[in-house]
Amino acid sequence: MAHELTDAFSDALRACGGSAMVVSAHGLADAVAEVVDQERVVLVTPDLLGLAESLRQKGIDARVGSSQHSLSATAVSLPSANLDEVSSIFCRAECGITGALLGISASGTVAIDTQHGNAGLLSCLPPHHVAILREGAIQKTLEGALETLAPQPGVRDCRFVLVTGPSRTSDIEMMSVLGVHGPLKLDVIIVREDA
Amino acid sequence: MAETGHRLMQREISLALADPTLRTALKRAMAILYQRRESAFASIDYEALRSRAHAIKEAAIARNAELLVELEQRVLTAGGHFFLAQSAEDARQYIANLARNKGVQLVVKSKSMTSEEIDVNHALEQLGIEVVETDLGERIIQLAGEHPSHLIVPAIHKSKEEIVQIFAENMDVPNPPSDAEGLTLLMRRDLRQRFITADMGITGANFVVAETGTVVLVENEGNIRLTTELPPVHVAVVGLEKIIPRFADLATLLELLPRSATGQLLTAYVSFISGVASSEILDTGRATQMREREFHLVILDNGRRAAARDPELRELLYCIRCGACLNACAPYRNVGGHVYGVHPYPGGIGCAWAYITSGHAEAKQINGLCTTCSRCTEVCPTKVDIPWLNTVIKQRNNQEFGAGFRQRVFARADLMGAAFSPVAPVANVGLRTMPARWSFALMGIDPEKRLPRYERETFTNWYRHRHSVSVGQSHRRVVLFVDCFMNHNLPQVGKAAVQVLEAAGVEIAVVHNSCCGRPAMSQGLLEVPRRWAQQNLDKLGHLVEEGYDVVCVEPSCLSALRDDYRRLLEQTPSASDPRLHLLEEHSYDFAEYIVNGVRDGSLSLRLTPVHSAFVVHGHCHQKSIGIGSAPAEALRLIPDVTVHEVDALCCGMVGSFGYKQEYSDLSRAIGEELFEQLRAHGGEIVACGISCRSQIEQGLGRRVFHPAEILSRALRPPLSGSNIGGGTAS
Ligand code: SF4
Ligand code: SF4
Repeated sequence: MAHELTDAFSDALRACGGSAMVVSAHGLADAVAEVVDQERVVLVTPDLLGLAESLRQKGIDARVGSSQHSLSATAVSLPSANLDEVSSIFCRAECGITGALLGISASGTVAIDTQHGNAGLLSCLPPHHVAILREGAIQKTLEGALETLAPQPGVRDCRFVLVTGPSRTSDIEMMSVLGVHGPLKLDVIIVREDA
Repeated sequence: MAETGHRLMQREISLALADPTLRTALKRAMAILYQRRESAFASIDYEALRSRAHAIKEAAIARNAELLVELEQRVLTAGGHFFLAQSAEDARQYIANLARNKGVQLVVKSKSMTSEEIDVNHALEQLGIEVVETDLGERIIQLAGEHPSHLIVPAIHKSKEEIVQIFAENMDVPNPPSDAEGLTLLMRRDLRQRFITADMGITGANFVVAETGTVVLVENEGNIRLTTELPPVHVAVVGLEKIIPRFADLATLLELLPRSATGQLLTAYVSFISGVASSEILDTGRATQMREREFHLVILDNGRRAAARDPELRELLYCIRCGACLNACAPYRNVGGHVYGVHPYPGGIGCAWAYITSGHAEAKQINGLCTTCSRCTEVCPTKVDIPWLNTVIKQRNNQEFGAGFRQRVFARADLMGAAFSPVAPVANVGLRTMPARWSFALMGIDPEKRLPRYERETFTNWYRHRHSVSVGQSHRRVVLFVDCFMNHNLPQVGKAAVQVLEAAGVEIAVVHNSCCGRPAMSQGLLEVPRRWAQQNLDKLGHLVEEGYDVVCVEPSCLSALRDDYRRLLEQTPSASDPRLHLLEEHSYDFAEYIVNGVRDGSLSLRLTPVHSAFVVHGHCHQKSIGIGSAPAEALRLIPDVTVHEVDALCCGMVGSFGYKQEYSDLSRAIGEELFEQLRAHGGEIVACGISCRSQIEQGLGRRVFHPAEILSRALRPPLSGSNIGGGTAS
């Protein structure tokens, strides 16, 4: 029954130009390595530190895209003092990897927390965005999703974005073109929590 | 003064109509948007959603004062700044001061009609600040030095070739690529650098939630995300009407907005911003003054609170700027947004926005472009009655600037009929003589257009003197609504309707001819139709109470009974008269009545084949009340019949619109789409409205019949098969 939502999600996402893939938890790093295969710099949000480390072991230049994150043994963090350097790394990055708060099967949408870990920029500046979505977090409708995402009373800052497919425009003669200001490519990796 | 205005409008229209690029671009874009919208709504309960959306907006506008207070509190608590701007000038000043104090040099902006409304670019540029639009279409328009022409697709009027030219001239790229992908990539690279170095980002917002202080931004390109995330200062300029009470209201509105605007289930990005951004890329601060990120919410009043207090204009504020009404609007589809002036909001809805935000004279200029055809009302996700708003504005303009003679003439179809019918042969010739046509021209009526012919024997006369027909024992009773045009110009339609209804076993009553009030309403003269609405309510109301149904042969009259009387009587004691609701419930279009009756078995019609094929054009008002295919279905009751429905938007005549000198070219252009479709089909033409009929007969030189005329023909054995009808034009 959960798989039904997953299938609907994947179909809807495909219909708007993105792609989805279901993997098991221990297959995640391999799956990500596959979709980012050709890329040069890959930035990940701090909560995906483990993933960054696995990617580096596979020879991918994965860094944590946050200046506040302390350097770890393997994952390279961004320098914190030099704006030019930071922004140049952001602009050179070929791929941004973020988590997803939830998915919406009706429209193939993922919700990204843009409040923490620079996820807003990571999911918008590079030409390729990879979102990691827990299968159990896929909901059916927008209404249900917004109920979950609503800012809680007393919480000061709450920022998120609903992402449905890659960036697009029809501004030139109504022709649909992908990758205007945001990513040209969107991959959602759905992690199946197997028993 | 008015004459100069008319001539100016006429010139603008001819220029637009003579621009083949514009027309091809518009046609393509509108067709795509219209059709995408249809499929996006295919799988959800549109009517239920839009009723909810209407209720949400209605409550929000009614409570706007308290919501403002709540919102301000939320924004301040979250560390943002809040400013309520009374006027466009106030908002401009606030933003300009902020930019000056922060030492801003470069501003990136995302598409926002509200910031166009306050013309903030100009104010910033005067301070020597560079302002860069970042939405692709908007940037193209900025480079071309123009104004956007559509709410959603600002560069809808530009061809790819023109865009290549604009890039070549303005972007330091001698040979820009010639494909849409290449052009887009070029723009991505060019703007990326500006996003990174901008000191301030200005956006609008689609919704702002009072309860949580959340600003919601709907987009596809990603430029809004970058505008809100990268520059250290984010300013959102938002019309006061966009405040909604609760976060839980968003789902309904977000199900509707993208579907209506672009036919997407959701746009690529919907950003929810509560509190101040936190991207660390700016941790070090760009300019010395900017160590911290800032968020400023500028709420713009500029006439909106006054409109919220105005019961007749209030619903304008329910508009969520999706642009769907433009895509459904025949005048807009033919001339595009620029004919509506430089005001940022084009179309019929633009006239209402202009009226409250930029001035009555501006609104007056473009008010006539709305034919009040009502086609837009089906597609508006919040059920804004755009034609009604335009009618109210016309009435107020009449009060403020005076109503013209031409308006008074067109308003009184009843008087013209009463004056000309008795002397019909003379009048018909007289109205076509040179002197008559000169005086038409002086009044601003297109002398080339023929007014409908008058018939000497009116329907009422015929009815009074005919041998009454026994229908046997009947359980359905109908009052046939005798409208001015049927009575004086097309009595044959009324006669046919009587024959068909009686053949179907209906007992008929006819009350003395009463105008429905539409002709006067469409001239913005509301006092007369208000009286008629009251009279008709009294006259028809008690018959309906006795079990009669009201049947109209003219769809415009039906829409008066079903929709407009509620509006007209809104501020009168009759608003709560239960008969008003009864009348709405029990009024039918002729074809609709027959089809429903045959379907539910309460009417039976014995029809014989007529050996003809028919091509049917639905009336705008039939379509807007959801009975667009009733005429075709009625014809399909005839055995062995071939019926084809054309889907052109509108005939272009729409009451007096096509007769007006300044709109007559536009009226013809709108009609052309319909003519083309009709030409492609050889059958006899069937249309219900008198204006559709005149437009088609004049434009195509073919006769047009009302469904009643065709059905009455099928009542008889085919051998005697002469038709009963006569055309309106000779
Ligand atoms: S009523 Fe007709 S002409 Fe007026 S805005 Fe709506 S669609 Fe356009
Ligand atoms: S009036 Fe209705 S259809 Fe037109 S832009 Fe506003 S919300 Fe959309």
